[in-house]
Amino acid sequence: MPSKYIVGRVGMFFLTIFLASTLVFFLPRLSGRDPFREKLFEEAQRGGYLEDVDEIAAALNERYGFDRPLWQQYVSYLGEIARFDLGTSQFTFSKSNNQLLAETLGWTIGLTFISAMVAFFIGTGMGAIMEWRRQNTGLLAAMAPFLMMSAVPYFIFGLVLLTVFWFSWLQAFDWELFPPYGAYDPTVEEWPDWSDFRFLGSAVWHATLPALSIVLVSLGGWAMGMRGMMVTTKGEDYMLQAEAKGLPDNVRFYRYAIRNSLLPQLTGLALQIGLIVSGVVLVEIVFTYPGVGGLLVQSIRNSDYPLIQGIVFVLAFCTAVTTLLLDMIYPLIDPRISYSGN
Amino acid sequence: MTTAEAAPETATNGQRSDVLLEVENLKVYYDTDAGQVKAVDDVSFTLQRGERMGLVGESGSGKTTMAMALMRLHKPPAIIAGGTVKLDGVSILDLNEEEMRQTRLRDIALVPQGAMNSLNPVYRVRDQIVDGIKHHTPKGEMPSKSIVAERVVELLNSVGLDASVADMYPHELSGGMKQRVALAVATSLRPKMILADEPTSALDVVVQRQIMLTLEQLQQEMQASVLLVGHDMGLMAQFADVLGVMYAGHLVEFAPIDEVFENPKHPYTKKLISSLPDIQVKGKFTGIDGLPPTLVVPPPGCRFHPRCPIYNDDEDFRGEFTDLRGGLDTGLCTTVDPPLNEVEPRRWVACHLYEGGA
Repeated sequence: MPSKYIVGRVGMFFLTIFLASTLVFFLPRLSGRDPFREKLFEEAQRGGYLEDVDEIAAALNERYGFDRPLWQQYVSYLGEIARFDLGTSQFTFSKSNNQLLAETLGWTIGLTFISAMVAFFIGTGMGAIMEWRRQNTGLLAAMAPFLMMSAVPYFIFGLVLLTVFWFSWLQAFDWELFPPYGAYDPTVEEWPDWSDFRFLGSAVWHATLPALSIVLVSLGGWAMGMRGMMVTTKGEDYMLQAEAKGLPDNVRFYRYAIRNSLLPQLTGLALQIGLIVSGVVLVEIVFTYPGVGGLLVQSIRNSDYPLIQGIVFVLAFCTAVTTLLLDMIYPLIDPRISYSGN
Repeated sequence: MTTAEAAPETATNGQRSDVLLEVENLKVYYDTDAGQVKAVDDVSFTLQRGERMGLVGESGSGKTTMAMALMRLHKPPAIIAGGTVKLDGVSILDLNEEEMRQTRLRDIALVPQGAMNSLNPVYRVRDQIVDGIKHHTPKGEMPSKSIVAERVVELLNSVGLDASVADMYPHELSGGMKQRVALAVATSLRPKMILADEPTSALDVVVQRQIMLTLEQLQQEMQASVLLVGHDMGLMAQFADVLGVMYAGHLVEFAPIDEVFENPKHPYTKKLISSLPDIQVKGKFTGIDGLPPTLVVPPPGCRFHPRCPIYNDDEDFRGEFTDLRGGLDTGLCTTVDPPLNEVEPRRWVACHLYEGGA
């Protein structure tokens, strides 16, 4: 029954969130480091003053509750997470973690979502057409470079794009085709004002290279996946029957071939979301994009437990929401899904 | 079941030409790396309006390839290398793609193999019946939704299905029900000809009988011709008016079904019929020795001669054929491919035994 299906998926969603938040609580703590103490020593070495470090560290740890038993910390952490209170960073005191994420998450989600969707739709479309118009071998040849690119990690490809568009011959003409860093032109506006077209334009312009490095790298995979599914679908009996029924080419292409090939692609998308997000984090660093990527790397370097927890939790949450949405769309596309398992 | 006598009468009462399907020297070859596979080689036959033809042959004899070529549904590497196919006077092979698309379902419809998943798994039965109708109706002339819905119910009832099936998905149907839906789709535009490619394979005999009865009923009601492809001689005996027998890409015998069973002429047909088990007598199971030849390099002369009981002077067949064999120049068997000749009225055989007024 569909309602049973929905309940099952929502249950799965909460289980995923719970497991992710548990993992992100315990994993960083396995290192057994005392971040405050280390930081103080670091500062002390720089400043030469090395007294009372232990006392200060202990005081700070007490203030953050790190001196309590792990299970107590865990329980209060779960309570905070449930209220979407991500706590306060150990080293970025000026803002709460919620504020830090509010500033950065939008950029990351915008970049990830748009480029993942663009890659998915273009790649899937290319794969579908490639197989449907098989006699057109030019399409297959056009695919070769994308396949090559799909073997490269996002961030490496980002570096390649930077080299091509920024550090190379373009400079000789003093021609800045695409900006190499940032998310918007600071001279346009101090702070994001999305109603301002100039700001919007500069945001899109700045996002082009990071987005391109994600799109170009993932395009080939989607195309090959879709092509493979189309090969299978074309061999299905209902495809022959569709032709025998005298259905026009476009109807057979969209309503028969694509419709049936799309299902595994969507599963693939649901599975890939997490990977895309983690890839984007590195792309952001390459392009100094103000998303969560830079924040996450910095927090990991500092062993900033609350911030790591906050960022990873939010990313896991977004991934789980996307997966849940895809799960909800799936039965609409394949009527067999909601009934399976009953 | 209506027997073979009924059909010829119904076939002759119209003013139009009695011939619905005319296949002449049809050649369908597969272009492979190993060479050209002549899957259908020089096949000619005619089918009367309202007539039911059975087409039998071993696997790989070219019967399905030919059936697909009649609807131009053959896929590369298959090519139609020659010949003509005329359906109600229209040359099928000369139609352009759009005309051919319109012809499918409207004039000639396919009932797929029973084992096939011939329904799109993601759409309801209703949509799959309607889309065929929709794409054969000129734009703007599609009747209202309620009329179409009525037509769907009418079609489902005509194949013995409940109206509620319209809103089901294929995975909610049994094999027999799916095949009934396929029948409803095939008859939705009242085609002149129905091409049924092993419609009952993989169905149990009870469902098989129901499906065949339904097909027959629809055929009678629409006065459509049927080409039934299969290898179940029992099924053919019950259903068909005329029977074509294919061997290695050739049509070797074509005759009214009763006569084929009573007096098969081609040695292959003879062996085929004598290999049918008899429910009364528990005898030794006899088959036809050997395997069908490769169609890349078919045997010289008659393609059946390596397995032919007459050519090889098989003991079991000596009595019956002694007289005939006396007049047979066995040299011809290995050198000349026998053409399909009308040796008696309405009896076509491709064998050197019946040449020269034997």
